[in-house]
Amino acid sequence: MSDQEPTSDSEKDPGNGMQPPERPVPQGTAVRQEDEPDVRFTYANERTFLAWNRTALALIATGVAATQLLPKLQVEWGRRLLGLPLIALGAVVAAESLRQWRANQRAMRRGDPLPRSRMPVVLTIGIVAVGAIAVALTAAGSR
Amino acid sequence: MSPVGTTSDPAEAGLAGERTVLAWNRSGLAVVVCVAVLLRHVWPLHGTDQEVALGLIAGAVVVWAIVLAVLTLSSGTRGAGVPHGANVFRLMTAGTLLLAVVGFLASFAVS
Repeated sequence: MSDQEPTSDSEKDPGNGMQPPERPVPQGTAVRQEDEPDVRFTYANERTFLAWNRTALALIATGVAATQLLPKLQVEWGRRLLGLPLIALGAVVAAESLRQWRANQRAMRRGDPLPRSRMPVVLTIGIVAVGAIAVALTAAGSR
Repeated sequence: MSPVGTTSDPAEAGLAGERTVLAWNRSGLAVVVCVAVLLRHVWPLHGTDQEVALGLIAGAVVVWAIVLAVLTLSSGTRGAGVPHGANVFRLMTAGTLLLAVVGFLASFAVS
């Protein structure tokens, strides 16, 4: 998606936006022979990171609320069975969002295709698993 | 990372920057809510504690907004903000992971 624009822009206006960076370069990113991507794509990547991070925060908050605010269930450790996987999933999503941001930024600089994200699959499986736990707890509690 | 990068349409880049600043603000609010949910357990609110808690939450929002503004202005102004450096993303991720660890530990403190 962003393969061509940075190159063409820098050719049109070689002095614009190609100054040495003011902030540290991300670790593991080779600077040489890499073009700065169109700023719109950099912003889009940043917003994607933030959206995943908010998802992680929501999962953590939901997990904490489940363990602390739900009434006691009939099943021992029922609230923790619900809340702890959500907190763990939030932590995984947070860590993975940083890795994905780095990978996207690197791919855009090199003009490579963007790497596929595993996060939607992980998130879906996690939420379905927690839903299944909730159904099982409800069924066990109604006996 | 270049602070500005290149684009063929300055207006569109400005709007993209504005959307990004809004996204940072939403993330800040999400952090505040998450911390508030965590504190709700360790700090049962009685009497004037509610006003104190509300004040703390409001203060946290103001601090977040100020930090965001300083980061934006110090990294080369472009009106609606500029892409942030990798350290900001690391800090955000580390903070989220810290909240997860605290939430994990707090869940075992439930009576």
